Amino acid sequence: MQLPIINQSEKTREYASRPGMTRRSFLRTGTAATGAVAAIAASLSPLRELTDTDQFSVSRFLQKHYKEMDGQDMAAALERISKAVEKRYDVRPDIRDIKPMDGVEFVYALNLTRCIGCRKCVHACVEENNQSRSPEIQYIRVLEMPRGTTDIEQGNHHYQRATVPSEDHYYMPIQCHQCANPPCVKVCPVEATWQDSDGITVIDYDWCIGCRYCEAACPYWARRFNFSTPSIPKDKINPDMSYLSNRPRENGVMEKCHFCLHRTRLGKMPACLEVCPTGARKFGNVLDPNSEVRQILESKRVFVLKQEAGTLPRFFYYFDERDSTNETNPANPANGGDA
Amino acid sequence: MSRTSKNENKIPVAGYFVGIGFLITAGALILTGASVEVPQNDSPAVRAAQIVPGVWRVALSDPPIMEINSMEMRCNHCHFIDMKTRDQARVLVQHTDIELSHGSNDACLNCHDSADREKLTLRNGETVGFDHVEQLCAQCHGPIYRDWQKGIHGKTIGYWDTDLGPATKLSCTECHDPHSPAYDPMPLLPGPNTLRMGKQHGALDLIDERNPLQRWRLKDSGAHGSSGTSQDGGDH
Repeated sequence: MQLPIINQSEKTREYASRPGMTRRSFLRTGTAATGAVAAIAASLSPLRELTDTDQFSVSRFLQKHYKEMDGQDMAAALERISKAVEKRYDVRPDIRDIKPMDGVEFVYALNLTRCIGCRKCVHACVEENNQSRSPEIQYIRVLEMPRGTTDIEQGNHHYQRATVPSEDHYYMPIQCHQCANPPCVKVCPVEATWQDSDGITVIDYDWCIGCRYCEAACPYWARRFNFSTPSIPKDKINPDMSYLSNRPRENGVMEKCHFCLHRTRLGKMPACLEVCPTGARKFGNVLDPNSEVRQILESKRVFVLKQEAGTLPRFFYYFDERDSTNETNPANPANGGDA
Repeated sequence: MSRTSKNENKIPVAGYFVGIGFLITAGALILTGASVEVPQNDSPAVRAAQIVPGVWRVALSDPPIMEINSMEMRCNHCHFIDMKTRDQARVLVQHTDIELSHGSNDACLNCHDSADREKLTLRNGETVGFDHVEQLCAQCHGPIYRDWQKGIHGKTIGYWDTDLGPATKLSCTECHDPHSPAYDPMPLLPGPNTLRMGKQHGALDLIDERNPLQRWRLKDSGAHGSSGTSQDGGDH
């Protein structure tokens, strides 16, 4: 530790000889000042690691909020993101900004009688949405629920078996419920997350400050935080991207299920539905009277999770009528022999 | 001199401590390295073959064509000789790979037409092709057929908005094996590899003689607390 007093100049002597300024007080303030400067420098030292242009660039810093961007701003942002993705993953993405469709409100329905808990949806979602493999981020959790309870506190999402389903359990996948009254949106201090007209709650990853208020506010544990820079194998990148959904995220931002909006806003089914081996997952436009989800809401006994939270989810669970002829194994939801 | 310094010594050591504290903090920040270690678990690899979207199994076309010894064969290539009727139950010589496990529906000619083996037979004597298998199944599985028509049972893939692209509604046999329609238990993909807090399985222990959900099971197995949730794996 080098003290500045050692090489005293004329000036410092002059200061030191002033009334009220002694050698001791000079030493004291000098040490404090040097220490403070050093501490500030040290606290900023992580900035040295920001070599990746995408992590910190002037254009990203000056980028406007999603809702304030015009076409030109968005084109510039997409070009910047595209370059960053290509630099990091050697893949030129097809990245777009896809707006919600008019007259569409998305609803998801999940048949608990059919779900067997195979977790194919979980991993199809990871592949589709460029989720981090290390540390692991998954949007869908499948709870293994003991028979006889709907208390999700008793659910276990770490179940491991040779085969599923287990006779003693039923399975309840949980992902973002795209609530009509979303608590996560209310708590965001910077309006980085909002509900679009088709019911999907989206996140502007470039506007999120990573405070995790939304994660705490969500009663369904649907939001995930990037505690470190996500890592995705280069050959696993899905180049079909959109600004608000599956473009690669940065360290320190939130993410969550967005009903695969880069697929669903173009009319396609979400990835988790496409991969489901039992047809337990149903998706569509609830405003269309002929849609599958509308038929389910009108004719099945549906319920929402944590209704008492007042979140008005757009994600519904339902059971089929109990089958009286299925004598062999009444507990097995995969015994699809309902009469 | 000593008198003036006495005046200053109202805060005798605090001034030094602030500065030295800052320096120690700075030194610690630099020496410990700038990067923060985040505890992270790698996600177990999932093969692409395990998450193939779309159709679950391949159903027979109409008329059914199967490849035998690299020749394309149709049912009636063989079945023009063999015209057994429903009552003439016998041991199978061919088709021994088929395991019939369809409840009380346990005879080939309940569904297959005896006169034309490339057709399926309905209860009213009419026949339908293999591409309209749902009409056959609907004869017994009415509520399921009703739900399937509305898109509630079964699976529709492709586009939810049919103005933008095709929607494919899977038929009965594109998910179920008609000879053994119940789904076999299947292997599951790896679970989340996240940090765990607290005990994960304590609440699951529902083995209790008083629990009506367990009583019949305990009675069946003849043992108390020996089966059921004790199979719970995944606790590490």
